[in-house]
Amino acid sequence: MKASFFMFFNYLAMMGVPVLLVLLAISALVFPGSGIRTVLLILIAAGALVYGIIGIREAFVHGRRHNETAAR
Amino acid sequence: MSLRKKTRDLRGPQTRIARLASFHMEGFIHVLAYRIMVPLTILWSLLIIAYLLWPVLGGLVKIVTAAVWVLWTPQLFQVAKGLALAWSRGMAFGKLNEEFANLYRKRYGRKRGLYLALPFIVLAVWTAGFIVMIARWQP
Repeated sequence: MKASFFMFFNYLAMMGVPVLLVLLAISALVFPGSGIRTVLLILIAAGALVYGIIGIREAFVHGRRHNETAAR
Repeated sequence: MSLRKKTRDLRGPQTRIARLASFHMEGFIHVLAYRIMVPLTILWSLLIIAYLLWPVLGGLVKIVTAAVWVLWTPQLFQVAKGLALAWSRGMAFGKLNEEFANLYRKRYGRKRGLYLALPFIVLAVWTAGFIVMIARWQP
């Protein structure tokens, strides 16, 4: 699949959501009972939603083209 | 006049992901996890929003987060590997001809040790985060 405007957001979420998840774990360890996790969870939810929607487009819509082969 | 030869991949179409298992197991695991994860991340994000509105869903959020965390592992490993490949100009995880690689080392003098370790460092941080999340995060 070609690099595109949409894929930029996919790559951003692909790397950003794991970073936010690790920050969530660190915040649970360092600041228990802090409100920072609400902010992190909102960002994680936004990233995961974008990632999921673009992922459906990439894997299940574009990936459905039966003539698409690895040789191309 | 030249006719363009139509290419045909004897390994089959990419939609049949199981074909990868015979020659690229790592790729197969990555693609399989990705295909399971993609619909799950949408449900997960909706669940997080629901949890922020109704905190009783905390236990379920933690279970789904753990599942997504595990499924994201092959993806993250491949991303780290890809970045190591790009940043090391193909010296780490690349398949450069030995002669060419030697010239490259002379030209750029890059040590590939850190790049080779990068995916495993990322994996270690990721696993440590998973353990801390399970042990300490009480949504």
